[in-house]
Amino acid sequence: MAELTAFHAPVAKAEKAKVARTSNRRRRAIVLAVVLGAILVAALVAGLTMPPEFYASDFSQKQQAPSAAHWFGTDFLGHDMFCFSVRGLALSIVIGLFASAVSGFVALVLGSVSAVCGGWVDKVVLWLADLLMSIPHMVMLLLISFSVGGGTFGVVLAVALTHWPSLTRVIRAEVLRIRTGEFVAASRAVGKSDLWIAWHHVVPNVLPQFIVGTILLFPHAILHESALTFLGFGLPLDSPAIGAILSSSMKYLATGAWWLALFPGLMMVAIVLLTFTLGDEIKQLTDPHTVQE
Amino acid sequence: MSGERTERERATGGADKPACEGGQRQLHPEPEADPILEVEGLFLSFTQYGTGLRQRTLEVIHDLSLTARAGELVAVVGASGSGKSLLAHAIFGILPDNAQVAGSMRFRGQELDAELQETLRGTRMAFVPQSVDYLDPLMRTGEQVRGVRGTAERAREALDRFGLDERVERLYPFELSGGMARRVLVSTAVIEDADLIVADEPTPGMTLEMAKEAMKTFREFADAGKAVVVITHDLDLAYNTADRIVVFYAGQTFEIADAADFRDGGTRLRHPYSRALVDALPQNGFRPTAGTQPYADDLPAGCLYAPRCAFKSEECEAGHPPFSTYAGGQVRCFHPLGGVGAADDVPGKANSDDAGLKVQAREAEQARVVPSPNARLLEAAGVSFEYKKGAPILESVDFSVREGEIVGLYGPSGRGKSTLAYLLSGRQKPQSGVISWDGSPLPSRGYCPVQLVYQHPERAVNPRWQLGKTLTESWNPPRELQESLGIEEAWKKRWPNELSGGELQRFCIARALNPQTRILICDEITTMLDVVTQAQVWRAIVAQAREHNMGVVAITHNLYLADRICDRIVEI
Repeated sequence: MAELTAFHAPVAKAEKAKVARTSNRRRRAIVLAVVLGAILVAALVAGLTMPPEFYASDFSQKQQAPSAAHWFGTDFLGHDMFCFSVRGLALSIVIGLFASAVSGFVALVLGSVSAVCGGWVDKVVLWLADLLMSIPHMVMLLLISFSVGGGTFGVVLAVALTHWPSLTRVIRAEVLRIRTGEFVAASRAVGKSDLWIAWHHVVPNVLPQFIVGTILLFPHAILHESALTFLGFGLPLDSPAIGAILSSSMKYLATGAWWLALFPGLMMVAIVLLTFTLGDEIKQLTDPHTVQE
Repeated sequence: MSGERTERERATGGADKPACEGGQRQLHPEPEADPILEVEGLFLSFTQYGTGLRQRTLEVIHDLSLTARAGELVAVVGASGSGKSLLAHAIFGILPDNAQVAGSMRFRGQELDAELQETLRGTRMAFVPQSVDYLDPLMRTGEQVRGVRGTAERAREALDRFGLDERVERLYPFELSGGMARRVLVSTAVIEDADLIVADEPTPGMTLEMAKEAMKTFREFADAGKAVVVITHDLDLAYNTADRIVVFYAGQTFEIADAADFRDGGTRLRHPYSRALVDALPQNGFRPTAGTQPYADDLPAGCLYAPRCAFKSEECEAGHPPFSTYAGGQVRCFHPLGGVGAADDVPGKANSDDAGLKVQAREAEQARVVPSPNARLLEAAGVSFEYKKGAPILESVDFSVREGEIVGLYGPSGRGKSTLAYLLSGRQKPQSGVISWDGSPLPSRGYCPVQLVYQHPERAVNPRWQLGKTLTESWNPPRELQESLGIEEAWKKRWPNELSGGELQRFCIARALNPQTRILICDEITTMLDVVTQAQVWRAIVAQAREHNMGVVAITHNLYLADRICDRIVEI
């Protein structure tokens, strides 16, 4: 063989690709889920089983700034704001869970029915969704809550009835996309029944979207419940919901009692942010396109 | 196209030889010409999740080098999934977040870092992406081609070159056919004044004439002093237009050779894989090579090609061959073949000599089947189809195929070949005309005797199924069939987004090759595959079809391929 030039000469070995340590999204999601779950369970258990003396009024202790004895300070009636906030949070969480579960269920049913039936059913569902989305959220919440006489039932109903449209649209679009997808056409061509396709093709593709959507509804529900209560159209002001606490705290902000609104507000913000982040992480992890990023 | 159904005489090897004007040119630009792009010792890896919380790093490009000089057209060919597109994405800095790059990339001697990439992208470096998905779905074609700096006249001129009329300028990407979209993509690069143009698979879905036009455009750019890198599966086009050809395999450069070395059956080529590519062309041996490209997490210890190589020695299985200069080219092999003035006793020579070719061709000739007149018939009679708005796609078209025959369907893009495939397989109903199977309409329930293998395999598999489930959805394909299609056992546990289009397509084909299938419609199923895989896949399909007396409709732009496998060819 001719020309064996430099063939067996050692070749400068290029440096191997350095492995950048990228953050582990799966670990982050699990940590988030555990932290959030722990907070929710702790708040629920503590808030719902708290003995009354923990949040009884004590006029000798009123209007105190945060201290070792009263972490979040006390209000004008001498309530311990920490215990008060935890109870409020528990109530908000219960309402949020309930409202988001109802909304999610409504969205699942309406979204799938509208995608599967098509025709006038689809038109009606979309029309309803558009109608609800075109009216400002707050106005709808107020109207619904007010029309059934307010209270806990009013709030849950209002939040549940106003939060389904966006998720309904997502589910409808997803079901439609899958039903008309090439892999479903191929499945049908090899003789699979509609039921088989629904179970094996549609459910595994829609379920992650549904779960993520419902998780993301939860913080919305909490925020809207608080907002409604804050405005005085939700839970009665003597119930210890976060919205009610914030509403009554407003009156004392001018007197310098900043802690009354700050801590309960932060607690709510923390829960909302954690839930949003977790929902986003789960969304990325369940989407085949972003699962590896 | 009204009713005209031309039984095209079989394409003969010489008639449509895709040699571009200027194909016979001097091969190297001056060696001193400015290198515009230099890639040296490039490594690319992805961080991925394994089971549970474990993360692993998959190295998909290993020690890759490539230089493109001013005035040079470099073609990158190689196995699908070998990292060709990733190289292009790395050059332009558009890799996903979980990718890490090491090694050096230089643009006119300047290190190409993220900042420089951002400045040069779309000004001095232009990219023609692979897929229609890279077009803005909400922007009309005309605007997209014009881009930020172009003018309407230049956009018009660019579109004219590719036979796209004014009507096309007003269309949105979803209204374009596959071939039209590619032409639009190429036009976007044409109006940029870039020094470096990288085109990722610009020609699939185009007819031969269009593909030649596209390559001619790239040739003109190179002649005007730009550096052009074209990533392609179309080896034939590549060696007729390019100056140099770079052969990729499993993330490595196997060979860099003059384009001329690929002519004449590739006897001057140095690497066994380069030869296998030439040998797998339908106009040559159409011979597949056993085995598949190794996956990034399961690379062999030695030479990456060793498991499939006919000339391997112990040395090959133990160590990595260096990339070195040999006989007028560069090759990564312990036992390089050929070279300029290669001796006749070089192993592998017999593999690709002309006598062998003729024997092969004759065999194919004899194999052509005339179906018995009482074989069942799938017929489209006077079929018309149009989408809600716009021009009709099909106007009273007649077409028929019988059990047991293999029919090639050939024609320019946008003529409704895919639509016809849809109608024939019952996926869509024609507005007028009749589709009948054995005298009656296609059954709407149960196993459909007419099966379609779709152009885009990534859309034809459920993204949330492991591939083993897709494989057995229709039937349980026997081991031998899976092997002849080149389906690896390990792939069955993978998710669709972990495999390349070519790998996915094999699952779709296996699914449709159920013996219950009477007519198999293949809509450009191998355009995105490398030639070795193409030969492997088509041989498996033809064998299965002959064994079970299936009819096959092969929609293709490759006349050589059609001629190789089809009993008759119909032009639409």
